[in-house]
Amino acid sequence: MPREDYKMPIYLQLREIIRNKIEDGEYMPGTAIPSENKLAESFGINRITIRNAVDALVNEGLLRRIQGKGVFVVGNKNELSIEEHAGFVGDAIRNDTRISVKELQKSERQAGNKYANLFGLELEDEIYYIRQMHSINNVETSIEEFFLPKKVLPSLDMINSSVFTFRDIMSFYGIKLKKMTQSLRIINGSAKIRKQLNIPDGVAVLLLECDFYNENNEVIAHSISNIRSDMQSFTVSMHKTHYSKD
Amino acid sequence: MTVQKTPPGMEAIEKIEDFIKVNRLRPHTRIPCEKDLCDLWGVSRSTLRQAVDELVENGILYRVMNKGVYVAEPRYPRDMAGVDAMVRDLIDQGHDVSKRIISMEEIEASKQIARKLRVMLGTKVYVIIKCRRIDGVPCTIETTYINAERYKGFIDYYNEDVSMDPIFESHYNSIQTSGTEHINVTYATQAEADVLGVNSGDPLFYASGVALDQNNETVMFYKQLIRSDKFVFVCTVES
Repeated sequence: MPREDYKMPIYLQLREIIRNKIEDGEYMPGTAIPSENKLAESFGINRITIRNAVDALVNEGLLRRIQGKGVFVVGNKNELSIEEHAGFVGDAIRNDTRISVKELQKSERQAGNKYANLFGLELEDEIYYIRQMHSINNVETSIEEFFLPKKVLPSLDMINSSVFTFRDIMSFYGIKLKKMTQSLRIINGSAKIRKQLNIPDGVAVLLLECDFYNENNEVIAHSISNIRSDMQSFTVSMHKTHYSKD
Repeated sequence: MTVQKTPPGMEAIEKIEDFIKVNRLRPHTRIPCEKDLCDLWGVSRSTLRQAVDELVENGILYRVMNKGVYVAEPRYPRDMAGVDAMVRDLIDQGHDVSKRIISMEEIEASKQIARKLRVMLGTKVYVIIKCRRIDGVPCTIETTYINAERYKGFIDYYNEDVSMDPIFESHYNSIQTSGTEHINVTYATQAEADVLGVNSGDPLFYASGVALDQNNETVMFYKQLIRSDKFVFVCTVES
């Protein structure tokens, strides 16, 4: 089952050839790959097949098609600066990455069943709800929702969450996070999310959910992020303590 | 700051999630019918249906035609302790985990493999490709590259009944202690779909990485294709 198998359809073989050239640095990030005509000529394959291979890598986020200019290598991945919490560190799929945060909503609401149970509150207790759009180099990449009890951070309404990310805000206020658990799943995403993020057909959504714990092991915040999988990937660093040896 | 009423759709989703959790509903348990839940929570049929749709989409619930809505089997956690640790956990939980070796051979390192394993181009490398099944369902295709000069004879020790970690440890005194893994989304080729029992084009996790031993030597470079309908990547960070 190697992905480089002569029995595979030609477009998939070509997809792996291009992938390897990107990984090997032969096609450099930010540069255009050879034109469809050139590739068709050098491999002796028709242009439709070339296009299928390129489309597959565009969907994976390794290549980007720019109208009238060609197909460019998105290239190596840069890490978002959230390493103090380690774990899944978001890698924006681009060099010279610019990340911006736009506040879509910031309000108070009742905890309701789910968050009353998660945070140990009464149903009517108030929690903050923040929804942000995160963009990488002006491309809207993810929608992140944060839920936290009002008592954790009474002055949140003063803070402009368009400028700072939630993790920044927590650290400004000296809220000690003892632990964070994260889960990452692949979903199709609701029609609403797909529309808001302008997700092309055939591209999946990554759903990242985090629980943040304080020193008493209580959940003090929860976040839900819907992320375009062609725009972002993740890196995990493994350390000795994480290996459970028996 | 404005106090806003939680939108009905969001509230319905949260109520269902909470209902499953609080009542500790087991996988494949049917949840109450639409009408009963609407009466219970005072939400409209269309709102509830949309909430259920979204939870079906996210793999929390599933629908059976003309029968109702059921709690989905939770996805298996795949954590950063690696596959061997995951397999041990699954076995502890009573799952039947087996693997089938698709191919095992010696090749010469290509540029990419040489760089990942930090060896010279053309160095002899073992490539082991296997498919792992959980409770009889194929779930992963794993390709492992191992420096055949450093771990000479590895493929003579390895078979479908043993794990890789203990071989590295007992025969080569190499204990995996750190590593880096990249997690991406890819889409199944027809051949991969056939092995995994999914549809061609279905999204898969594509995890690739290197593992280092106690002397910071590269133990392996691996690529894993993991069914996204069966697995969730999890990670716990403690400070």
